[in-house]
Amino acid sequence: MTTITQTNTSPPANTAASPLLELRNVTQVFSSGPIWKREHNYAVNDVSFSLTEKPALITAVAGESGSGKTTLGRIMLGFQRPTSGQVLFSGKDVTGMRGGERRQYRRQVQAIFQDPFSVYNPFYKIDHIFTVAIARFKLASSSDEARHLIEEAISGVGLRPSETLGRYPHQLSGGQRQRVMVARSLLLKPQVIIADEPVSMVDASLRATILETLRALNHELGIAILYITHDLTTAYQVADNIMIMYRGHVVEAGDVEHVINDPKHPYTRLLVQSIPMPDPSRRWADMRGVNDPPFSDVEVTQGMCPFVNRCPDALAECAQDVPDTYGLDEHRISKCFLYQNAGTVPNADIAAYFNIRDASPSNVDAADNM
Amino acid sequence: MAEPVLTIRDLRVYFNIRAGTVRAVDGVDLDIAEGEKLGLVGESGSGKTTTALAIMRMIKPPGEIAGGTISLDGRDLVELSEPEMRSVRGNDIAMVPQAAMNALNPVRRVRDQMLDGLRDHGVNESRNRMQDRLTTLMAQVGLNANVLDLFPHELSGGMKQRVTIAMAICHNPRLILADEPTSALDVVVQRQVMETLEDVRSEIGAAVILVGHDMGLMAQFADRIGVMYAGKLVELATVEQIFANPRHPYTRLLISSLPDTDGKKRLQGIPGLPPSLLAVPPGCPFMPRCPEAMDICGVEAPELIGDIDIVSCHLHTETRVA
Repeated sequence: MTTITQTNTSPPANTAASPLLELRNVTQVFSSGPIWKREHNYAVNDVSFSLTEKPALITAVAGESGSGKTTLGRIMLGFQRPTSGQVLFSGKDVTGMRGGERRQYRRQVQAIFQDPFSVYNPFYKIDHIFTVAIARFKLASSSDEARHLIEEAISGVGLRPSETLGRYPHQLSGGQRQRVMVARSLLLKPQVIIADEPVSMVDASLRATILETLRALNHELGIAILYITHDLTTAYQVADNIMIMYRGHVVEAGDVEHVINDPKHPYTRLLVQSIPMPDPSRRWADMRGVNDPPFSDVEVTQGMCPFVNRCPDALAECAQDVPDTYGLDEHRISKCFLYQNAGTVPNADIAAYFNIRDASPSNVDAADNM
Repeated sequence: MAEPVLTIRDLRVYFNIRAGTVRAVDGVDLDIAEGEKLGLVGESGSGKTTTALAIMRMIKPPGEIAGGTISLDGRDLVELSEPEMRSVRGNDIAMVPQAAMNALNPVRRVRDQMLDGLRDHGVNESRNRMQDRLTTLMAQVGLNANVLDLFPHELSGGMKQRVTIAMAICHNPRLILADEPTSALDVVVQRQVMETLEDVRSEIGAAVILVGHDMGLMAQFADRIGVMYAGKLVELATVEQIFANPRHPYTRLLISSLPDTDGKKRLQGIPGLPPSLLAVPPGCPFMPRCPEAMDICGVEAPELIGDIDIVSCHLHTETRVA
């Protein structure tokens, strides 16, 4: 094990940044089954983190299906009221928001979803998703102005308005449809975009274009982006920081460079080892049997580390208690007993450990991509 | 190279729709050697899945195999009657489908579905012998025998995909067609399923055609890679060659668009869209998107050249106009 250099008793300096959208100890429980044997599934388990306005960063959330990453996104979008904990937008609890305040929150926090087919109503032309947004948020005072805004947004994502507007969703390719969704977000000039697997259903050749567009939205317009994905390579390329989720817990988080190229949590290590690298000289190491779940037959319950039954490094305490979140260094936290010497992060806003990219205007490198 | 199991020559699959003829696969030549792992990549609509379906003779109207031959051990599958083809499917060529959740019958236990597959191909042994066979098959794909008594909804995505692999190998086929078998799974399960597929493949000595668009997965699994574009095979070479020295501009762009974790870089997409297969323009189908297009590309379609590493591009033809 690597030595841990620093004990974090006080959070790092970047807590001073004002949070724009903040989760405080958010837990989401989904219950199912009859009352006498009710099952509780903790989709999100005591997560605190925030997206800041300045600097606006790209934060990736990665994990397997069922890890809670999509639920986390839905909570931040206000689609889901968490079982406990608070969601704050500009310091105000979103559950209590009404009227104009709520509309403002809805406008400032936009979503891009995985499936570029099901977000469209097939009976309406593409224009519809723009005109509805313009009418709802009163963005334009005349139809000419509206038209101008729409064309500007569509050009902004690298599509030609003449080839896009007036068409029906089925007449566009999946990649074009997904870029239209990005254009819709662009039209509203939000402060936050929650992008849930935006490229997983798009061909590799278009994936890069869409991700570059997201990067440009962040770098140039200062939109904070939550990039939810199961693909660690795109997360690495696009994001500044990453949170790895496993069964509702954020098990590791920090600067993307460190987390992916030097993973600390045993689950992150397993994930990174499983990335299919596009390089035939770096094939998967033979891990057959070593990491095939279940690694042990411990039945995982709420009071233990969620990864204990699959963990090759499990200690005795892993089955007795849930690990705290430990601060490994300035830009990394991990929820794993292997690092308990590092010191607990006090009621951690994970974002306090995020690395802040130098986002001064001179550093904008994606300008010509818009 | 070992003796080919399957030889495809000038395969053409057309869909006749009201607007005209869609040339989904248009003149594909392919040899698959005994025990070989061939990756077939391309974007949606490039014809990779249609090629796999044509090998299984599962093209549905309005689609049809409009020409060409598909020979398995010297027998032309295109010419077989439907009953003859039925015995080829499963026995000689098996398929691992893309969406395992839709491939299994939701209201029947795994055991009954697997027994169907065995009986349908004339396996009629005693109850005990059949149960033994199923238990062995389950062990081969790394599943516990008690999975046989479960319904599909009780299985995870990875377990379901292993069940479909077990079904595919139950008659020891010569060739397994796997169409994006892990596209719905996360990376850890994906690796495990692919390892299972590789284990059973080497155990029964089958060849595999892996269809997909994930170049990372191809790099991990395939021996050779065929790149399809607009219904045609544009490059075919060993996996090392494809990644180290791609010759077709499309392959080159495809590989440079792949994200990795070796330092951040500008992600480069491939601008433009593939042509409509209703009216493929004359010349090279990739020309409108090609950064290295020459005059001849718009006039004359490039031939496939080469013996082992094959490429279809005027940059590599003898007659190239300087």
